[in-house]
Amino acid sequence: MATEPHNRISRSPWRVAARRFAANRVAVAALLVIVLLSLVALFAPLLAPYDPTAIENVLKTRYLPPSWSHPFGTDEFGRDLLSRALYGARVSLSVGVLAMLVAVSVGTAYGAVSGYAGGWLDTVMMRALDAFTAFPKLFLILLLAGVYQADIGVLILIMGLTSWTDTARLVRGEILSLKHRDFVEAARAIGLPAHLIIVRHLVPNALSPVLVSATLMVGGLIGVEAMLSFLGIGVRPPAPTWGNMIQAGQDALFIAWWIALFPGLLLAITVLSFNLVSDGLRDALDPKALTRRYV
Amino acid sequence: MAAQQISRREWVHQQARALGVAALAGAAGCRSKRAPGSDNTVMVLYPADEWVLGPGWDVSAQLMVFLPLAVTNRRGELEGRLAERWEHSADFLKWTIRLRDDIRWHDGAPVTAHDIKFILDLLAHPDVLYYSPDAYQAKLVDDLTYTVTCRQYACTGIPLDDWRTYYPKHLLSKLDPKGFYRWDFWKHPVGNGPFRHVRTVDRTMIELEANPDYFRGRPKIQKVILKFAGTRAVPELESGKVDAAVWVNRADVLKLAGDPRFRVYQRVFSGRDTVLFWNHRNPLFAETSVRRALTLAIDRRELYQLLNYPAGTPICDASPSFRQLTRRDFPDPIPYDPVSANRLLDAAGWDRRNQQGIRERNGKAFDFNLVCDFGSSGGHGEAAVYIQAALKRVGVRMNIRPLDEADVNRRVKDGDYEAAIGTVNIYGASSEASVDGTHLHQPFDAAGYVNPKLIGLFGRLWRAVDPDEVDRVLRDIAALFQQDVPVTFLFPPVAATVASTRIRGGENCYGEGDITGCMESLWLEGAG
Amino acid sequence: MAWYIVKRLLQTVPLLVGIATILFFVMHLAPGDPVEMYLRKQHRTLVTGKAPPSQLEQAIRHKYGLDRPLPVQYGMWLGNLARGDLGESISNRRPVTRLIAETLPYTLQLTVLALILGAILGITMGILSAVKQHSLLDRAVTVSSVTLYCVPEFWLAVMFILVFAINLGWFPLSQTRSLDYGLLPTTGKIADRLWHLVLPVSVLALSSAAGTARYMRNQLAGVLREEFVTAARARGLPESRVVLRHALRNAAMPIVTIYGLQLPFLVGGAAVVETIFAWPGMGAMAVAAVGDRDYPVIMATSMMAALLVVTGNLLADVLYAVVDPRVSLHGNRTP
Repeated sequence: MATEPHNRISRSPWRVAARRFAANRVAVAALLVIVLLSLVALFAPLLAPYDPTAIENVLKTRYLPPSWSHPFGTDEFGRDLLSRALYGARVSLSVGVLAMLVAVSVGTAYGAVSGYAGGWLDTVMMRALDAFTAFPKLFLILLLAGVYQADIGVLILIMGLTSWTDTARLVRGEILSLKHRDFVEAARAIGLPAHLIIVRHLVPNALSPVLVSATLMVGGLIGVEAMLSFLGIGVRPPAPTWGNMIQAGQDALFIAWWIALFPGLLLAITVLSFNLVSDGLRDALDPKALTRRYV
Repeated sequence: MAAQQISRREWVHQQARALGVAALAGAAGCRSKRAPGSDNTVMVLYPADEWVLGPGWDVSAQLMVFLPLAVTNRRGELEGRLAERWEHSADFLKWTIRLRDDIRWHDGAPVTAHDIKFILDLLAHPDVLYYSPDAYQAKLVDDLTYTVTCRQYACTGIPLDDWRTYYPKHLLSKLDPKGFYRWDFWKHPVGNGPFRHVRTVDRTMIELEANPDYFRGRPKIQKVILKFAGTRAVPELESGKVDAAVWVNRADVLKLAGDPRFRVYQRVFSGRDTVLFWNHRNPLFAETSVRRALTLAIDRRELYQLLNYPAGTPICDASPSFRQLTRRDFPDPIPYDPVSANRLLDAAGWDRRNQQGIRERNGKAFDFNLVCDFGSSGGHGEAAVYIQAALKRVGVRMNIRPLDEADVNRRVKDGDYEAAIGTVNIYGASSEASVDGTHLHQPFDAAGYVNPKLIGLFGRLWRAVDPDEVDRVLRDIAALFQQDVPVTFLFPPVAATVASTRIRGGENCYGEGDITGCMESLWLEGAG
Repeated sequence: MAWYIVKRLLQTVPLLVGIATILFFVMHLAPGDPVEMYLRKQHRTLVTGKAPPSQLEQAIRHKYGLDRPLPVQYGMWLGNLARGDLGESISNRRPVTRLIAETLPYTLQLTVLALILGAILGITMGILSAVKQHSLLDRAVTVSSVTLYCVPEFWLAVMFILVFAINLGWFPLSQTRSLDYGLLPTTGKIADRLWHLVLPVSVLALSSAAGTARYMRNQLAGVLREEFVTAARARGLPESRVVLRHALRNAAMPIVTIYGLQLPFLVGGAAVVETIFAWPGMGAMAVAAVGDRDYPVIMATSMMAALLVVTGNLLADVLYAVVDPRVSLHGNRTP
């Protein structure tokens, strides 16, 4: 690395982390993929070559294999699968990100309060957390989503509210270790109220492991949403999501292998990208990591 | 070491392949080999389990081993099987049935009224609950005669139901009713039908052979083997492991229809049609001309093809009886005519279009929600998607709201929808049986279509016993529906059986069962 | 140690009661009527116009206690639970304990095999990859394990079916046994069962191995960088001993606890794979029960899963303490 001028700005931990992240080619590539997917999802109506609900001359256009005019082929109604996949990206990404935001908000709040308060409140909250963790997560999501006939909003809530426990523990751990640092003592000495200390000083410092965990969580939640749609419990047809497209593909596996293939590839790429970005963030933010390369 | 590691995975798969081959070899060598030429066995793939001959499954496979009291023949008349003659009181509440005296159980014991009464009592037993405990009372008159007295219309169809089979009292009277659905007897039944049970291999198959003493003559097919598998019929049929498969799903039908070795039998059922309910209280659907226009906009012939229905499946705007279906005696349906649809909609005031091409009237767009059950194999989901596209072409926007079947049924019952895809049950018995047939017009009332003429017609239908009268009423109902278009009839239920072309006589099967229901009249080509 | 275990076990009782309560109210406040399901399942033909009379509904409701007020039902539920009576499935009309006893072995066939194979594969891959860091092998393993980890399991299963069962025809599509299973000789039966096990177990094992390999590699790579390893090498110990004896033990600890936490996976983790392969296991049964609103089955399997999670946690903690003498069982449970 070239020698840098020794000034305070370049020593800011965020800047350092950003530079280390940027040096990690794999992580950067993954980030670009995510950005690309997000743009595609956002502009799906403009980008999609066909209307995903358009049905014209069903018998001639159904079950067509991939071709130039239909790169992903068509389904049993003759609908273009590429267009449907693009719209499916919207659901997958938005559900994943929004559910993650719910989980992280709840978890951070819970963990911060518990960690800062200490004493009996901390013990009680941790016991409650243990009780909550005793619920098998995936099972619970399956149950709630299936039984309550979730529409997207409820689905996001359910997924978020079952995934916050790891974040809570993480934040609590960080806060516990930060609680006794000088800058916190100083803030207390000035007379800052507890909630301000938590919000202004502690949480921002505790954020880095949360960031790593959050990006990982998005990948996981996208996978969960896909699984739920696949089982017919999440987003149901005719609204396209990658999960229910794979399910439709399973029914037609004998006649049309392409229906199940492409949404799965997209899912894999998306989850992979989030995982790689998360790893990159972890390597960039981790002060103990001696090697900067990903592999 | 790297080469070793990667090949470990390969090794596992190699071993698997070897095992697979070994299994196949073993299976091929030790399976009951079919002797060429003298083979007179039909193997049927049945998506059920080894309890299929018992009351836990309501399927026609039972009819090979057990007889019902009577069956409905091609002409729509009841033909006696166990029952020789029957009569009922004027209010249809008391039935007196006399049995034939020449039918025996497969173990030689005679079939008597004691058996029937025992089973009727058992099915209403509080631990069994096949029928409601207080629905009816069965009384013996003599060894071959008994009466059934029903409480109001609580047992519609039970006295002579052509699906209800009866079982031997002398073998079952000592068993505990609590385990009724799992009695071992169902796996090794002693019946009185055209086929006798030979053996059951758990989770694998049931073997039946022809009953030489069957009172209607020994069946031509010597052996029937029911094989159980959860799902796909395609690999089993194509490899020749089975000769026929019932309840084949639509995608598989599409694949098999092109294969010259097989014939697809699709049976159209009467009386339980899928319809599109319009809520008449909603200003969008209040006018008849609008409802007619929407019906004109849907190409039901193409919808049938989408569902892989057979080419000759009739399109009707009402439910014909089974007899009318067979005789093709029903009025011409409302055609597919998008030009007229557009004209009618324009005339109704929906002549302006907004930016997305959707019709508008007084600033309001023609936009509504449709609830339907997407998960069903009944094709509701496919129909909804197809209709959405069809209506878009005439400038009407329909949004699909998928729900569970139970929720859809509840909404249809309560009239809580703008549009819904559900079923009407005009010709069959219903769970909401009432004295004058009010249950038949309940879904229409809930939709906001309260027509005294229709109510009267349904009352007549419910009371009709004479098949000619039934047909007359159904014809009147059809005429009324075509005039008022209260709902749009979409398609009747169709079940597909795929069978090898070696099996003959399948086209003569009638009735609502699958191929096992008429096994006694089938034969194998070239069998000795 | 023994006292700790007893203490934890006692703590789990109120935990489980709490879970049972929450479960009960969550289930019963949800929409959907199991009795309607029961009535529909009674007649399983494709089409039948003949539905049972509606008085039947009342009788069924009474039989399952669904006509009593909610608190009474709750009391009944807790009482039955304590006695081990898990009720009767509404859609199958058979005792839930029997259903669990029938389906559990099938699930265990898949999950135990998958865990074992996955562990062997994953740990081996992880070790090799950590030892030969940055080599071609390491890259191959890392890339493939990350990819497999990210691929959704259900899609992997569908693709396996497409390639190996439909296109290549090496393995069967689904089910636990062939059509003619009952007619095969014993050796044929065993071979047939194994043949049917290959695809589902492969899917599960590969997913599990991917995660394990990654984790093992990172852990071991981290440990190998530590000073005591350099010291051991400096002492002249052969590399294999350095790795296997010293480094591995340190790296293995978290893995051991991870496997302790896999206890719930044994029972429910294969749910989607079971559904795809029509494997009659507990996971598939739970998924079907959710669709059918079959309360007794849903609640019984949830309680089982919760019980296993709690047991798994206890097991993981105890194992961790056993493996790492530095950890005190009475210390803080923070990660």
